Amino acid sequence: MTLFSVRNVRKTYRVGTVETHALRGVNLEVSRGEFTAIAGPSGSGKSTLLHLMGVLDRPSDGAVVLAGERIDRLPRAAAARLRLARLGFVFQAYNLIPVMTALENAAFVLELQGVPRREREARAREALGLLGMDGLEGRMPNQLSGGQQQRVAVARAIASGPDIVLADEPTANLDSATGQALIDLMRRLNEEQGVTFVFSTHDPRLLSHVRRTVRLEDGRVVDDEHADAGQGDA
Amino acid sequence: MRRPKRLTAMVVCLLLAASGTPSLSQDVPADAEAVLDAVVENLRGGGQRATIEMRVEDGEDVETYRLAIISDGTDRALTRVLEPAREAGQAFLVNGNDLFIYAPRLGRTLRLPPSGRSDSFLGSDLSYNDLAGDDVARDFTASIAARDEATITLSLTPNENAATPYGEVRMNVRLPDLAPLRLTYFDQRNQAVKRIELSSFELHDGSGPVPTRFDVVDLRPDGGRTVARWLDAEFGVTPPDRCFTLEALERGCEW
Amino acid sequence: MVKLAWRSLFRQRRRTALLIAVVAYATLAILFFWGFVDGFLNSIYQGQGRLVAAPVAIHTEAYQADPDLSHALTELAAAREVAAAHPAVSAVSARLDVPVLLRSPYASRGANLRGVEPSTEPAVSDVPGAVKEGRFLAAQGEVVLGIALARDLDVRLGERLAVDANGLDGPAATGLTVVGFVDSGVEQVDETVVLAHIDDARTLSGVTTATSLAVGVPFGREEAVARALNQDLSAGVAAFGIMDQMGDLAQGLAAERLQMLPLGLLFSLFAAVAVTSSLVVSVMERTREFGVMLALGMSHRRLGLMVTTEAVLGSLLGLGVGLVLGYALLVWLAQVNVLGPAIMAAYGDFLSGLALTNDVRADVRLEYAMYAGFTVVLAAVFAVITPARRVARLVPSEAMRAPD
Ligand SMILES: Nc1ncnc2c1ncn2[C@@H]1O[C@H](COP(=O)(O)OP(=O)(O)OP(=O)(O)O)[C@@H](O)[C@H]1O
Ligand SMILES: [Mg+2]
Repeated sequence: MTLFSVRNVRKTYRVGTVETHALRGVNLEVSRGEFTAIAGPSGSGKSTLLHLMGVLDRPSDGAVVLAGERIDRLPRAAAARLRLARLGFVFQAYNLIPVMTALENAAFVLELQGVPRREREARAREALGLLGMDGLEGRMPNQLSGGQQQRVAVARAIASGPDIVLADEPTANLDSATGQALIDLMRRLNEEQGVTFVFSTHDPRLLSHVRRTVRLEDGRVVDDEHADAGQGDA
Repeated sequence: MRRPKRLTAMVVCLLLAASGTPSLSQDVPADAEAVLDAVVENLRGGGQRATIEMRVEDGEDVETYRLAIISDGTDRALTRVLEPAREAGQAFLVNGNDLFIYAPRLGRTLRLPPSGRSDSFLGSDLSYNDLAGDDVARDFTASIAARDEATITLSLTPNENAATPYGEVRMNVRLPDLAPLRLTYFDQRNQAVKRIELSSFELHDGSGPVPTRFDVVDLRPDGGRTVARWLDAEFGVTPPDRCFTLEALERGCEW
Repeated sequence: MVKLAWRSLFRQRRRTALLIAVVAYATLAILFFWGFVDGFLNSIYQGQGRLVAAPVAIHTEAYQADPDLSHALTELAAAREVAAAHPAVSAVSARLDVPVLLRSPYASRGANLRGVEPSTEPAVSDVPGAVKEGRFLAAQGEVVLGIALARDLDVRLGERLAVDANGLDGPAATGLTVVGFVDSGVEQVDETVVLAHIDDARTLSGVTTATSLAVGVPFGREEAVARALNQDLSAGVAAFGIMDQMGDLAQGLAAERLQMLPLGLLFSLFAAVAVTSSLVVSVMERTREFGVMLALGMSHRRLGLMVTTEAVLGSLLGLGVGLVLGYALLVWLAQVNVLGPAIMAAYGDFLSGLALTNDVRADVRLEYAMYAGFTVVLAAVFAVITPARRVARLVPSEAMRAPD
């Protein structure tokens, strides 16, 4: 069942008189429960695509559809509500709010949703537990390693139970072993909790266990390769 | 402004004090108060018309004035400055308690309020009260300090609450005509601070001795000296009332 | 929302401390500024009331317009009764001011001799208390002089001074014995004061009553008491507070304070700008953090509200701290004479025309909190306009790309 569909999306940035075609007609369908990587060299449009999917920005042309509804023309406030209710985000860096503890960061989306303190802390704790962060709940972000910080970000993204988690280069600031561990954790969440993930990376070594890899080059999808179910399972 | 102030003071003093003498008392009284009364009486009297030269010395500064004076011998006097040119035309009218000044440069007549009048006395070698006879009689008690053939020295000591700042005034009086020769003023610390010498006595038409020269000496350190001389004078005249009006002050008075 | 803002304020102690410090400093400065200005003016008024004029003076309206002996207060007893009946009045003393010429053997000076009632004058004036050499008046025939005036005349205690006046009945003169010197430290007083028994002043002036009644009133209530007394005083006689007695000088000082107003406003504006800029800087620093919050689904409205709440809370905290410190400072400066010597050292020559003692106490008025509050509100308005607008324009995807 298709959860997300990106249809013939174009995105052109204008800086002064210079136009940059970040996306030149991208089509992409994501089903519920999928674990999808978007790969491509720097500047290929990965972030742009994820931002469009996350209604952080609007496409110049084309449509983005979430569960049958077009979301690419939503007003700002509606887009914010949609992100809050249905999407989870993990960013490349500076994900966490520096003045909040790991637990508060993980519970932040729930807090914005208005979930009572007791419940949101329980759910945040649970999410942190799934990511192996037990005992570090009280730490401030600057007291955590880069990998730990990204795990808190993932915990925050999944704690509210979103339809889909969009992660833009979550491993970019991590060494490859830590990055691999984070991807593995995400995949486990995908398999065990059924969380739908779309994440981007330019590091091909991370893609060995990923079932589906969409390759972007110069704003176009050049490859969309589905491995057989279970093939990448290790 | 310093000089005109001094000038004003001088003029006021001189006119009220030394205005000729109508009578001569030949009998020398024996007691001090009577001597004082006789001297004071000698110093007041008939009218006069005179030109006076007044030399004011103040350290290096010396200024000589020539003044034309008309006085009725009681409490009215009109004075006009003839020289120096800078001050010429200024006139002063004393009429009882009032003092008016005519300033030709302003073309205006000013009535001096008490405070203004006090200004005019500032720093002068002389003041109205120093010489005004009735004040002397009221404020001082006289005693004879010394007496010989030629002179009597009176010691005048202030009465209680007398309106004088001095501790004592000594007056040397010539015998037998009771002409006052010298007044010496002492402060309340027994220091002589001022001396007035009267000289060049003249007799006019059976009058008493009239001094026609005053030397006022400030005895304090850096004190000045003022000398007034009568150059020509008519004594015993009776000026008309119109000479003591504001009009006369501004335009002069001929009779 | 408030909780979010609190947390953020509390966790970012350095930034919050800076904001509080800036606001507190602005508040303190504003409080000090006005406390100083008003304290300074007060001490001038007070000096005028206690050293030169009277807290409240009753005289004829004609005398107010032209202080001449012919306008003396003839209905002295009636006016005195009216004044004494007022509950706020602590004392009433008759005065007779006579222009005189003072003469010593060495100099003479024009002056205003004030005939006073020796027994009641100390209750309405600080001058008798400022007699540092000799003593105050006890009987007729005595005079008390300002020390500088005495020096000018070169008179010593126990010496006689000749006093000439032009009274209503003509010239009058007397000799008064110097019994005391007033050394108040106030130039104007020490150079001009001549106090004598009112009966001597009567003899000199020919006035049988007085020119005015000096009425002792607690500081600050002069004008009100004067107004109250005016209800009961007979026609042609009126009570005047310090301002009225000072005339042009009071107007000048009032104008002075008005002139301070733009200065105070400018001061407030600077303070507001300082507060605003520290708020703006803190928002700019947090652009990426806000971008993340927006990306996670926080609405712009909510983010703006959060930033505003933070600014308001922080500013209020700073205001609170500033008010506490500022009022503490003012209360201290009101109790201890620190300003006076400082002002005198700096501007003594400049101020010699005023009856200003070297005792200057800060004024402590509640309205200063308003001035400071106004400033902080001004800052908050800027803060809401500027940083909140910045926040409103943030695009999450770009905000997250913001450099460190
Ligand atoms: N806000 C923007 N304004 C102008 N150009 C932009 C903007 N964002 C992205 N671009 C341009 O769009 C193109 C795609 O950028 P994008 O960030 O999507 O690439 P990316 O694949 O995420 O690269 P990287 O791996 O380096 O993150 C680039 O050429 C980039 O310069
Ligand atoms: Mg990117």
